[in-house]
Amino acid sequence: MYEQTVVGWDGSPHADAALEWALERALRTDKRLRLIRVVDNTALYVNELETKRSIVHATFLLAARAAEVRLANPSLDLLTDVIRGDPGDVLNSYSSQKVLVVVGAQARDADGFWYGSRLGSRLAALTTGAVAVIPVRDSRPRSGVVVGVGDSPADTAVVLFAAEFAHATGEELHLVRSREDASPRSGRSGADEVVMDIALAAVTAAYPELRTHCHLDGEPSNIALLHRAQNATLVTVGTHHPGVLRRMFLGSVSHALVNNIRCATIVIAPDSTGDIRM
Amino acid sequence: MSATQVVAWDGSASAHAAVLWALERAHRRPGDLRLVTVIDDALALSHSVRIAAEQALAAEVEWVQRQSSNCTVTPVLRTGDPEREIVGQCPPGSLLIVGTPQHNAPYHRRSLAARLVRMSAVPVAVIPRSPWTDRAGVLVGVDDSPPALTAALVAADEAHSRGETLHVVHAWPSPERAGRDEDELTDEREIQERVVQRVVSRIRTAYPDLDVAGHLETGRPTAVLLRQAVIRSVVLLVVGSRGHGAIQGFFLGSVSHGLVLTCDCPVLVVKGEV
Repeated sequence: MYEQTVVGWDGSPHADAALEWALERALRTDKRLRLIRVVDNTALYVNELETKRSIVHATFLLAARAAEVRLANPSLDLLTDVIRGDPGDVLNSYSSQKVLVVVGAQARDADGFWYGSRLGSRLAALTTGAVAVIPVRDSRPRSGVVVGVGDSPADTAVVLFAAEFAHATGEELHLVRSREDASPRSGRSGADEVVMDIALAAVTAAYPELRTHCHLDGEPSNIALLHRAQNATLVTVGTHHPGVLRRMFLGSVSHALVNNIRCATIVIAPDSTGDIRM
Repeated sequence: MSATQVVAWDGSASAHAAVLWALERAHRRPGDLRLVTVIDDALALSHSVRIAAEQALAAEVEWVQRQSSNCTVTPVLRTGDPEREIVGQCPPGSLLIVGTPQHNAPYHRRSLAARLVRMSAVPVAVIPRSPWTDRAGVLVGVDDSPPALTAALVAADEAHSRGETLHVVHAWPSPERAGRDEDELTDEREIQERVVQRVVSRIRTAYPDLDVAGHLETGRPTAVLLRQAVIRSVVLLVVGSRGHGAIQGFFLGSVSHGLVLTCDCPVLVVKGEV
Protein backbone atom coordinates (compact mmCIF):
# COMPACT_ATOMS: atom_id res chain seq x y z
CA MET A 1 0.00 0.00 0.00
CA TYR A 2 1.39 3.41 -1.05
CA GLU A 3 4.80 1.83 -1.60
CA GLN A 4 5.85 4.39 -4.24
CA THR A 5 7.02 7.82 -3.15
CA VAL A 6 6.44 11.06 -5.05
CA VAL A 7 7.72 14.31 -3.62
CA GLY A 8 6.79 17.87 -4.59
CA TRP A 9 9.92 20.02 -4.46
CA ASP A 10 10.32 23.74 -5.09
CA GLY A 11 13.76 24.46 -3.67
CA SER A 12 12.46 25.90 -0.37
CA PRO A 13 13.74 24.70 3.04
CA HIS A 14 10.47 22.92 3.80
CA ALA A 15 10.56 21.24 0.39
CA ASP A 16 14.04 20.00 1.26
CA ALA A 17 12.67 18.65 4.55
CA ALA A 18 10.03 16.80 2.54
CA LEU A 19 12.70 15.51 0.15
CA GLU A 20 14.90 14.22 3.00
CA TRP A 21 11.94 12.46 4.58
CA ALA A 22 10.79 11.01 1.26
CA LEU A 23 14.32 9.86 0.50
CA GLU A 24 14.58 7.93 3.75
CA ARG A 25 11.26 6.31 3.03
CA ALA A 26 12.10 5.47 -0.58
CA LEU A 27 15.34 3.82 0.52
CA ARG A 28 13.30 1.71 2.94
CA THR A 29 10.70 0.72 0.34
CA ASP A 30 11.22 0.35 -3.41
CA LYS A 31 14.46 2.41 -3.77
CA ARG A 32 12.66 4.64 -6.21
CA LEU A 33 11.82 8.31 -5.77
CA ARG A 34 9.98 10.61 -8.11
CA LEU A 35 10.88 14.26 -7.63
CA ILE A 36 8.34 16.67 -9.11
CA ARG A 37 8.84 20.39 -9.61
CA VAL A 38 5.62 22.16 -10.47
CA VAL A 39 5.99 25.58 -12.06
CA ASP A 40 2.84 27.43 -11.06
CA ASN A 41 1.44 29.10 -14.15
CA THR A 42 -1.97 29.85 -12.69
CA ALA A 43 -1.18 33.53 -12.17
CA LEU A 44 -3.63 35.82 -13.93
CA TYR A 45 -1.08 37.51 -16.17
CA VAL A 46 1.16 34.95 -17.76
CA ASN A 47 4.12 36.32 -19.63
CA GLU A 48 5.41 33.66 -22.05
CA LEU A 49 9.07 34.64 -21.70
CA GLU A 50 8.80 34.79 -17.91
CA THR A 51 7.15 31.35 -17.88
CA LYS A 52 9.90 29.96 -20.08
CA ARG A 53 12.52 31.51 -17.81
CA SER A 54 10.84 29.99 -14.73
CA ILE A 55 10.75 26.56 -16.33
CA VAL A 56 14.38 26.64 -17.49
CA HIS A 57 15.48 27.96 -14.09
CA ALA A 58 13.43 25.34 -12.23
CA THR A 59 14.78 22.59 -14.50
CA PHE A 60 18.39 23.48 -13.69
CA LEU A 61 17.69 23.82 -9.94
CA LEU A 62 16.00 20.43 -9.94
CA ALA A 63 18.81 18.86 -11.99
CA ALA A 64 21.42 20.16 -9.54
CA ARG A 65 19.48 18.79 -6.55
CA ALA A 66 18.87 15.50 -8.33
CA ALA A 67 22.59 15.09 -9.07
CA GLU A 68 23.39 15.73 -5.39
CA VAL A 69 20.83 13.17 -4.27
CA ARG A 70 22.08 10.60 -6.80
CA LEU A 71 25.65 11.18 -5.71
CA ALA A 72 24.79 10.62 -2.05
CA ASN A 73 22.47 7.65 -2.69
CA PRO A 74 23.88 5.44 -5.44
CA SER A 75 21.29 2.71 -4.82
CA LEU A 76 18.38 5.08 -5.40
CA ASP A 77 16.51 5.27 -8.70
CA LEU A 78 15.62 8.95 -8.88
CA LEU A 79 13.17 10.24 -11.49
CA THR A 80 12.56 13.93 -12.02
CA ASP A 81 9.92 15.97 -13.79
CA VAL A 82 9.25 19.65 -14.29
CA ILE A 83 5.58 20.29 -14.97
CA ARG A 84 3.60 23.48 -15.56
CA GLY A 85 0.34 23.85 -13.74
CA ASP A 86 -1.35 24.26 -10.40
CA PRO A 87 0.84 22.57 -7.76
CA GLY A 88 -2.13 21.03 -5.94
CA ASP A 89 -3.68 19.60 -9.11
CA VAL A 90 -0.42 18.36 -10.59
CA LEU A 91 0.75 16.61 -7.41
CA ASN A 92 -2.71 15.21 -6.85
CA SER A 93 -2.61 13.67 -10.32
CA TYR A 94 0.02 11.27 -8.96
CA SER A 95 -2.29 10.16 -6.12
CA SER A 96 -3.34 6.55 -6.14
CA GLN A 97 -3.56 3.52 -3.91
CA LYS A 98 0.07 2.82 -4.73
CA VAL A 99 1.56 6.28 -4.17
CA LEU A 100 2.42 8.40 -1.17
CA VAL A 101 2.65 12.06 -2.20
CA VAL A 102 5.02 14.00 0.06
CA VAL A 103 5.05 17.79 0.45
CA GLY A 104 6.72 20.18 2.88
CA ALA A 105 4.91 22.45 5.29
CA GLN A 106 5.56 26.16 5.32
CA ALA A 107 6.55 27.60 8.67
CA ARG A 108 3.95 29.85 10.18
CA ASP A 109 5.37 33.26 10.89
CA ALA A 110 3.24 33.84 13.95
CA ASP A 111 4.69 31.04 16.01
CA GLY A 112 7.95 29.30 15.34
CA PHE A 113 6.81 26.04 16.86
CA TRP A 114 3.72 25.74 14.74
CA TYR A 115 3.64 25.07 11.08
CA GLY A 116 0.89 25.08 8.54
CA SER A 117 0.62 23.86 5.00
CA ARG A 118 -1.78 25.24 2.46
CA LEU A 119 -0.53 22.89 -0.25
CA GLY A 120 -0.67 20.02 2.24
CA SER A 121 -4.24 20.69 3.29
CA ARG A 122 -5.28 21.13 -0.32
CA LEU A 123 -3.71 17.82 -1.28
CA ALA A 124 -5.13 16.08 1.76
CA ALA A 125 -8.56 17.23 0.68
CA LEU A 126 -8.10 16.20 -2.97
CA THR A 127 -6.25 12.94 -2.63
CA THR A 128 -7.57 9.51 -3.42
CA GLY A 129 -4.41 7.99 -1.96
CA ALA A 130 -2.12 9.13 0.80
CA VAL A 131 -0.43 12.49 1.44
CA ALA A 132 2.49 13.10 3.79
CA VAL A 133 3.00 16.67 5.01
CA ILE A 134 6.47 17.24 6.43
CA PRO A 135 7.47 20.28 8.52
CA VAL A 136 11.06 21.48 8.81
CA ARG A 137 12.72 19.35 11.46
CA ASP A 138 12.86 20.91 14.93
CA SER A 139 15.17 20.10 17.83
CA ARG A 140 12.57 18.22 19.89
CA PRO A 141 13.45 14.66 20.81
CA ARG A 142 10.76 12.72 18.97
CA SER A 143 9.66 9.13 19.10
CA GLY A 144 6.67 6.96 18.31
CA VAL A 145 4.22 6.61 15.47
CA VAL A 146 0.75 7.87 16.38
CA VAL A 147 -2.36 6.71 14.55
CA GLY A 148 -5.95 7.82 15.00
CA VAL A 149 -8.29 4.84 15.37
CA GLY A 150 -11.72 5.44 13.88
CA ASP A 151 -14.88 3.40 13.49
CA SER A 152 -14.96 2.53 9.81
CA PRO A 153 -13.43 -0.63 8.32
CA ALA A 154 -11.16 1.62 6.19
CA ASP A 155 -9.46 2.72 9.39
CA THR A 156 -7.97 -0.72 9.85
CA ALA A 157 -5.97 -0.07 6.70
CA VAL A 158 -4.77 3.24 8.16
CA VAL A 159 -3.74 1.53 11.41
CA LEU A 160 -1.88 -1.17 9.47
CA PHE A 161 -0.13 1.43 7.36
CA ALA A 162 1.08 3.17 10.53
CA ALA A 163 2.10 -0.17 12.01
CA GLU A 164 4.13 -0.99 8.91
CA PHE A 165 5.85 2.40 9.15
CA ALA A 166 6.61 1.90 12.86
CA HIS A 167 7.89 -1.58 12.12
CA ALA A 168 10.15 -0.35 9.29
CA THR A 169 11.55 2.58 11.27
CA GLY A 170 11.93 0.75 14.59
CA GLU A 171 9.44 3.03 16.35
CA GLU A 172 6.74 2.12 18.84
CA LEU A 173 3.12 2.39 17.73
CA HIS A 174 0.52 4.45 19.60
CA LEU A 175 -3.14 3.78 18.84
CA VAL A 176 -5.15 6.83 19.81
CA ARG A 177 -8.90 7.03 20.07
CA SER A 178 -11.13 9.69 21.52
CA ARG A 179 -14.09 8.63 23.66
CA GLU A 180 -16.04 11.47 22.07
CA ASP A 181 -15.76 9.92 18.61
CA ALA A 182 -18.27 7.16 19.21
CA SER A 183 -21.59 7.78 17.54
CA PRO A 184 -24.02 9.11 20.17
CA ARG A 185 -26.67 6.76 18.87
CA SER A 186 -24.62 3.67 19.58
CA GLY A 187 -24.82 4.54 23.28
CA ARG A 188 -23.05 1.38 24.32
CA SER A 189 -20.54 1.66 27.05
CA GLY A 190 -17.31 -0.13 26.28
CA ALA A 191 -17.70 0.40 22.52
CA ASP A 192 -14.42 2.36 22.36
CA GLU A 193 -12.57 -0.46 24.05
CA VAL A 194 -13.97 -2.91 21.53
CA VAL A 195 -12.89 -0.75 18.55
CA MET A 196 -9.45 -0.37 20.10
CA ASP A 197 -9.17 -4.12 20.70
CA ILE A 198 -10.03 -4.85 17.08
CA ALA A 199 -7.34 -2.40 15.90
CA LEU A 200 -4.79 -3.85 18.30
CA ALA A 201 -5.61 -7.39 17.20
CA ALA A 202 -5.05 -6.41 13.56
CA VAL A 203 -1.66 -4.90 14.43
CA THR A 204 -0.57 -7.86 16.54
CA ALA A 205 -1.56 -10.30 13.83
CA ALA A 206 0.50 -8.47 11.21
CA TYR A 207 3.46 -7.36 13.37
CA PRO A 208 3.61 -9.59 16.43
CA GLU A 209 6.85 -8.13 17.75
CA LEU A 210 5.84 -4.46 17.37
CA ARG A 211 5.52 -2.56 20.66
CA THR A 212 2.05 -1.06 20.61
CA HIS A 213 0.34 1.26 23.10
CA CYS A 214 -3.37 2.02 23.27
CA HIS A 215 -4.63 5.41 24.39
CA LEU A 216 -8.29 6.21 25.00
CA ASP A 217 -8.33 9.98 25.43
CA GLY A 218 -11.10 12.12 26.84
CA GLU A 219 -10.36 15.02 24.52
CA PRO A 220 -11.82 15.34 21.00
CA SER A 221 -9.75 13.47 18.37
CA ASN A 222 -8.15 16.52 16.83
CA ILE A 223 -6.97 17.84 20.20
CA ALA A 224 -5.84 14.40 21.35
CA LEU A 225 -3.83 13.79 18.17
CA LEU A 226 -2.33 17.28 18.11
CA HIS A 227 -1.33 16.81 21.71
CA ARG A 228 0.41 13.53 20.93
CA ALA A 229 1.91 14.89 17.71
CA GLN A 230 4.07 17.22 19.77
CA ASN A 231 6.57 14.51 20.57
CA ALA A 232 5.87 11.91 17.89
CA THR A 233 7.85 11.22 14.72
CA LEU A 234 4.73 10.59 12.68
CA VAL A 235 0.97 11.02 12.98
CA THR A 236 -1.32 9.10 10.62
CA VAL A 237 -5.03 9.69 10.17
CA GLY A 238 -7.70 8.58 7.76
CA THR A 239 -10.27 10.88 6.21
CA HIS A 240 -13.84 9.88 5.72
CA HIS A 241 -15.65 12.01 3.18
CA PRO A 242 -15.26 10.48 -0.24
CA GLY A 243 -14.84 12.35 -3.48
CA VAL A 244 -15.92 15.86 -4.22
CA LEU A 245 -17.68 16.25 -0.90
CA ARG A 246 -14.37 15.85 0.86
CA ARG A 247 -12.90 18.76 -1.05
CA MET A 248 -15.31 21.03 0.75
CA PHE A 249 -15.24 19.32 4.10
CA LEU A 250 -11.83 17.92 4.76
CA GLY A 251 -12.41 15.93 7.92
CA SER A 252 -11.99 18.15 10.91
CA VAL A 253 -9.31 15.92 12.39
CA SER A 254 -7.00 15.82 9.39
CA HIS A 255 -7.69 19.52 8.79
CA ALA A 256 -6.61 20.41 12.31
CA LEU A 257 -3.50 18.25 12.02
CA VAL A 258 -2.33 19.54 8.66
CA ASN A 259 -3.02 23.17 9.49
CA ASN A 260 -1.29 23.02 12.85
CA ILE A 261 1.37 20.64 11.80
CA ARG A 262 4.00 19.69 14.38
CA CYS A 263 5.47 16.50 13.08
CA ALA A 264 5.37 14.47 9.89
CA THR A 265 1.68 13.83 9.19
CA ILE A 266 0.12 11.37 6.79
CA VAL A 267 -3.49 11.71 5.70
CA ILE A 268 -4.97 8.66 4.04
CA ALA A 269 -8.12 8.77 1.94
CA PRO A 270 -10.59 5.91 2.15
CA ASP A 271 -10.08 3.32 -0.57
CA SER A 272 -11.87 5.06 -3.39
CA THR A 273 -12.66 1.87 -5.28
CA GLY A 274 -16.36 1.28 -4.84
CA ASP A 275 -17.05 4.73 -3.49
CA ILE A 276 -19.74 6.68 -5.22
CA ARG A 277 -18.15 9.88 -6.47
CA MET A 278 -20.46 12.85 -6.19
CA MET B 1 33.72 4.80 -34.40
CA SER B 2 32.87 7.86 -32.34
CA ALA B 3 35.42 8.12 -29.59
CA THR B 4 34.00 11.37 -28.24
CA GLN B 5 30.38 11.40 -27.13
CA VAL B 6 28.64 14.77 -26.97
CA VAL B 7 25.44 14.91 -24.91
CA ALA B 8 22.99 17.77 -25.38
CA TRP B 9 22.22 18.43 -21.71
CA ASP B 10 19.49 20.83 -20.60
CA GLY B 11 18.89 19.58 -17.07
CA SER B 12 15.72 17.70 -18.01
CA ALA B 13 14.99 14.08 -17.15
CA SER B 14 15.41 13.16 -20.81
CA ALA B 15 18.86 14.75 -20.84
CA HIS B 16 19.74 12.56 -17.87
CA ALA B 17 18.47 9.54 -19.79
CA ALA B 18 20.81 10.53 -22.63
CA VAL B 19 23.70 10.77 -20.14
CA LEU B 20 22.88 7.31 -18.80
CA TRP B 21 22.90 5.89 -22.33
CA ALA B 22 26.25 7.57 -23.07
CA LEU B 23 27.70 6.22 -19.82
CA GLU B 24 26.56 2.72 -20.61
CA ARG B 25 28.15 3.00 -24.06
CA ALA B 26 31.36 4.52 -22.63
CA HIS B 27 31.61 1.47 -20.44
CA ARG B 28 32.13 -0.65 -23.57
CA ARG B 29 34.19 1.82 -25.57
CA PRO B 30 36.13 4.29 -23.46
CA GLY B 31 36.29 7.85 -24.72
CA ASP B 32 35.65 11.44 -23.78
CA LEU B 33 32.22 12.63 -22.77
CA ARG B 34 31.16 16.21 -23.36
CA LEU B 35 28.04 17.65 -21.73
CA VAL B 36 26.86 20.67 -23.67
CA THR B 37 24.33 23.05 -22.13
CA VAL B 38 23.07 25.98 -24.17
CA ILE B 39 21.15 28.86 -22.65
CA ASP B 40 18.78 30.22 -25.25
CA ASP B 41 19.48 33.78 -26.42
CA ALA B 42 16.13 34.91 -25.04
CA LEU B 43 17.25 34.02 -21.50
CA ALA B 44 20.88 35.05 -21.91
CA LEU B 45 20.45 38.12 -19.70
CA SER B 46 19.00 36.21 -16.77
CA HIS B 47 21.72 35.95 -14.17
CA SER B 48 19.80 33.44 -12.03
CA VAL B 49 19.33 31.07 -14.98
CA ARG B 50 23.04 31.20 -15.77
CA ILE B 51 24.03 30.49 -12.15
CA ALA B 52 21.52 27.64 -11.94
CA ALA B 53 22.78 26.18 -15.23
CA GLU B 54 26.41 26.34 -14.10
CA GLN B 55 25.62 24.63 -10.80
CA ALA B 56 23.41 21.98 -12.36
CA LEU B 57 25.98 21.17 -15.05
CA ALA B 58 28.76 20.97 -12.47
CA ALA B 59 26.66 18.69 -10.25
CA GLU B 60 25.78 16.39 -13.16
CA VAL B 61 29.42 16.23 -14.26
CA GLU B 62 30.47 15.31 -10.73
CA TRP B 63 27.89 12.55 -10.68
CA VAL B 64 28.98 11.26 -14.11
CA GLN B 65 32.63 11.21 -13.07
CA ARG B 66 31.71 9.12 -10.05
CA GLN B 67 29.99 6.57 -12.29
CA SER B 68 32.80 5.95 -14.70
CA SER B 69 36.54 6.12 -14.30
CA ASN B 70 37.36 5.34 -17.93
CA CYS B 71 36.00 8.52 -19.49
CA THR B 72 36.86 12.17 -19.09
CA VAL B 73 33.83 14.41 -18.68
CA THR B 74 33.93 17.99 -19.88
CA PRO B 75 31.14 20.49 -19.20
CA VAL B 76 30.47 23.11 -21.87
CA LEU B 77 28.12 26.02 -21.15
CA ARG B 78 27.22 28.29 -24.05
CA THR B 79 24.72 31.00 -24.84
CA GLY B 80 23.00 31.29 -28.18
CA ASP B 81 20.94 29.25 -30.59
CA PRO B 82 20.74 25.76 -29.02
CA GLU B 83 20.96 23.66 -32.20
CA ARG B 84 23.79 25.65 -33.74
CA GLU B 85 25.84 25.68 -30.53
CA ILE B 86 25.34 21.97 -29.87
CA VAL B 87 26.24 20.99 -33.45
CA GLY B 88 29.29 23.27 -33.21
CA GLN B 89 30.50 21.31 -30.19
CA CYS B 90 30.66 18.00 -32.06
CA PRO B 91 34.16 17.30 -33.42
CA PRO B 92 34.49 15.11 -36.54
CA GLY B 93 34.19 11.46 -35.63
CA SER B 94 32.14 12.13 -32.53
CA LEU B 95 28.64 10.95 -31.68
CA LEU B 96 25.92 13.40 -30.65
CA ILE B 97 23.43 12.09 -28.08
CA VAL B 98 20.13 13.79 -27.35
CA GLY B 99 17.19 12.71 -25.20
CA THR B 100 13.57 13.07 -26.25
CA PRO B 101 10.95 13.88 -23.64
CA GLN B 102 7.77 11.88 -23.28
CA HIS B 103 5.11 12.37 -25.89
CA ASN B 104 3.11 14.75 -23.72
CA ALA B 105 5.95 17.27 -23.55
CA PRO B 106 5.71 20.61 -25.35
CA TYR B 107 6.42 20.10 -29.05
CA HIS B 108 9.32 22.58 -29.19
CA ARG B 109 11.28 20.38 -26.80
CA ARG B 110 10.55 17.19 -28.69
CA SER B 111 11.56 18.64 -32.02
CA LEU B 112 15.01 19.71 -30.79
CA ALA B 113 16.13 16.14 -31.43
CA ALA B 114 14.72 16.17 -34.96
CA ARG B 115 16.40 19.50 -35.73
CA LEU B 116 19.72 18.22 -34.43
CA VAL B 117 19.41 15.12 -36.59
CA ARG B 118 18.91 17.34 -39.61
CA MET B 119 21.72 19.78 -38.82
CA SER B 120 24.38 17.50 -37.43
CA ALA B 121 27.32 16.37 -39.54
CA VAL B 122 28.10 13.52 -37.13
CA PRO B 123 25.90 10.54 -36.20
CA VAL B 124 23.09 11.36 -33.77
CA ALA B 125 21.65 9.01 -31.16
CA VAL B 126 18.13 9.94 -30.04
CA ILE B 127 17.30 8.47 -26.65
CA PRO B 128 13.70 8.20 -25.48
CA ARG B 129 12.83 8.38 -21.79
CA SER B 130 11.17 5.01 -21.77
CA PRO B 131 13.48 2.40 -20.29
CA TRP B 132 15.56 0.55 -22.87
CA THR B 133 16.56 -2.29 -20.60
CA ASP B 134 15.11 -5.80 -21.07
CA ARG B 135 15.55 -5.46 -24.81
CA ALA B 136 17.65 -7.48 -27.20
CA GLY B 137 19.10 -7.10 -30.67
CA VAL B 138 20.13 -4.23 -32.91
CA LEU B 139 18.06 -3.45 -35.99
CA VAL B 140 19.27 -1.64 -39.08
CA GLY B 141 17.30 -0.47 -42.07
CA VAL B 142 19.07 -0.94 -45.41
CA ASP B 143 18.61 -0.59 -49.14
CA ASP B 144 21.08 -0.87 -52.02
CA SER B 145 22.80 2.50 -51.52
CA PRO B 146 26.33 3.10 -50.19
CA PRO B 147 25.14 5.09 -47.12
CA ALA B 148 22.92 2.15 -46.19
CA LEU B 149 26.00 -0.03 -46.13
CA THR B 150 27.72 2.55 -43.92
CA ALA B 151 24.75 2.47 -41.54
CA ALA B 152 24.80 -1.33 -41.60
CA LEU B 153 28.49 -1.43 -40.69
CA VAL B 154 27.97 1.07 -37.86
CA ALA B 155 25.06 -1.05 -36.64
CA ALA B 156 27.25 -4.16 -36.88
CA ASP B 157 29.91 -2.42 -34.79
CA GLU B 158 27.31 -1.46 -32.14
CA ALA B 159 25.81 -4.96 -32.11
CA HIS B 160 29.27 -6.51 -31.93
CA SER B 161 30.38 -4.39 -28.96
CA ARG B 162 27.09 -5.12 -27.17
CA GLY B 163 27.14 -8.82 -27.94
CA GLU B 164 23.73 -8.52 -29.59
CA THR B 165 22.19 -10.08 -32.69
CA LEU B 166 22.01 -7.76 -35.71
CA HIS B 167 18.78 -7.71 -37.71
CA VAL B 168 19.24 -6.32 -41.21
CA VAL B 169 15.86 -5.21 -42.53
CA HIS B 170 15.09 -4.16 -46.07
CA ALA B 171 11.68 -2.76 -46.87
CA TRP B 172 10.04 -3.57 -50.20
CA PRO B 173 7.39 -0.90 -50.61
CA SER B 174 5.04 -2.20 -53.33
CA PRO B 175 5.41 -5.82 -54.34
CA GLU B 176 1.96 -6.11 -55.92
CA ARG B 177 2.06 -3.21 -58.31
CA ALA B 178 -0.64 -3.35 -60.98
CA GLY B 179 0.15 -5.12 -64.24
CA ARG B 180 2.71 -7.52 -62.89
CA ASP B 181 2.42 -11.19 -63.31
CA GLU B 182 3.61 -13.93 -61.02
CA ASP B 183 6.98 -14.36 -62.74
CA GLU B 184 7.82 -10.67 -62.60
CA LEU B 185 6.95 -10.64 -58.93
CA THR B 186 9.19 -13.62 -58.24
CA ASP B 187 12.03 -11.96 -60.14
CA GLU B 188 11.50 -8.75 -58.22
CA ARG B 189 11.48 -10.61 -54.94
CA GLU B 190 14.78 -12.22 -55.83
CA ILE B 191 16.26 -8.81 -56.58
CA GLN B 192 15.06 -7.49 -53.22
CA GLU B 193 16.32 -10.57 -51.40
CA ARG B 194 19.70 -10.03 -53.00
CA VAL B 195 19.84 -6.49 -51.54
CA VAL B 196 19.56 -7.96 -48.07
CA GLN B 197 21.99 -10.78 -48.79
CA ARG B 198 24.65 -8.41 -50.17
CA VAL B 199 24.58 -6.30 -47.00
CA VAL B 200 24.52 -9.37 -44.75
CA SER B 201 27.53 -10.94 -46.49
CA ARG B 202 29.49 -7.67 -46.27
CA ILE B 203 28.80 -7.57 -42.53
CA ARG B 204 29.76 -11.24 -42.10
CA THR B 205 33.08 -10.52 -43.81
CA ALA B 206 33.79 -7.61 -41.48
CA TYR B 207 32.44 -9.25 -38.29
CA PRO B 208 32.76 -13.02 -38.68
CA ASP B 209 31.62 -13.83 -35.14
CA LEU B 210 28.58 -11.52 -35.20
CA ASP B 211 25.11 -13.10 -35.25
CA VAL B 212 23.42 -11.52 -38.31
CA ALA B 213 19.90 -12.10 -39.61
CA GLY B 214 18.54 -10.63 -42.84
CA HIS B 215 14.83 -9.84 -43.26
CA LEU B 216 12.84 -8.69 -46.27
CA GLU B 217 9.62 -6.97 -45.23
CA THR B 218 6.92 -5.41 -47.36
CA GLY B 219 5.67 -1.93 -46.65
CA ARG B 220 6.85 1.65 -46.43
CA PRO B 221 10.36 1.83 -44.93
CA THR B 222 9.50 4.00 -41.91
CA ALA B 223 6.47 1.94 -41.00
CA VAL B 224 8.44 -1.29 -41.47
CA LEU B 225 11.26 -0.11 -39.22
CA LEU B 226 8.95 1.18 -36.49
CA ARG B 227 6.97 -2.05 -36.55
CA GLN B 228 10.04 -4.27 -36.53
CA ALA B 229 11.62 -2.23 -33.70
CA VAL B 230 8.49 -2.76 -31.63
CA ILE B 231 8.00 -6.45 -32.53
CA ARG B 232 11.63 -7.37 -31.90
CA SER B 233 11.92 -5.01 -28.92
CA VAL B 234 15.46 -4.04 -29.97
CA VAL B 235 18.00 -2.11 -27.89
CA LEU B 236 18.91 0.11 -30.83
CA LEU B 237 17.50 1.06 -34.21
CA VAL B 238 20.10 2.27 -36.73
CA VAL B 239 19.19 4.18 -39.88
CA GLY B 240 21.23 5.92 -42.54
CA SER B 241 20.50 9.47 -43.41
CA ARG B 242 19.86 10.57 -46.95
CA GLY B 243 23.11 12.50 -47.13
CA HIS B 244 23.59 13.18 -50.85
CA GLY B 245 20.30 11.80 -51.95
CA ALA B 246 20.69 8.14 -51.18
CA ILE B 247 18.39 6.05 -48.96
CA GLN B 248 15.48 8.19 -49.99
CA GLY B 249 13.11 5.57 -48.80
CA PHE B 250 14.37 5.74 -45.27
CA PHE B 251 14.86 9.44 -45.01
CA LEU B 252 12.44 11.81 -46.61
CA GLY B 253 12.69 14.85 -44.36
CA SER B 254 9.64 14.90 -42.16
CA VAL B 255 9.46 11.12 -42.09
CA SER B 256 12.75 11.08 -40.22
CA HIS B 257 11.18 13.35 -37.62
CA GLY B 258 8.39 10.89 -37.23
CA LEU B 259 10.80 8.01 -36.77
CA VAL B 260 13.04 9.85 -34.33
CA LEU B 261 10.14 11.19 -32.30
CA THR B 262 7.86 8.19 -32.15
CA CYS B 263 10.21 5.27 -31.76
CA ASP B 264 10.35 4.07 -28.15
CA CYS B 265 13.85 2.61 -28.42
CA PRO B 266 17.08 4.56 -28.98
CA VAL B 267 17.57 5.52 -32.65
CA LEU B 268 21.03 6.05 -34.13
CA VAL B 269 21.00 8.16 -37.29
CA VAL B 270 24.19 7.64 -39.30
CA LYS B 271 25.11 10.56 -41.49
CA GLY B 272 26.43 9.78 -44.98
CA GLU B 273 29.74 8.00 -45.02
CA VAL B 274 31.54 8.08 -41.69
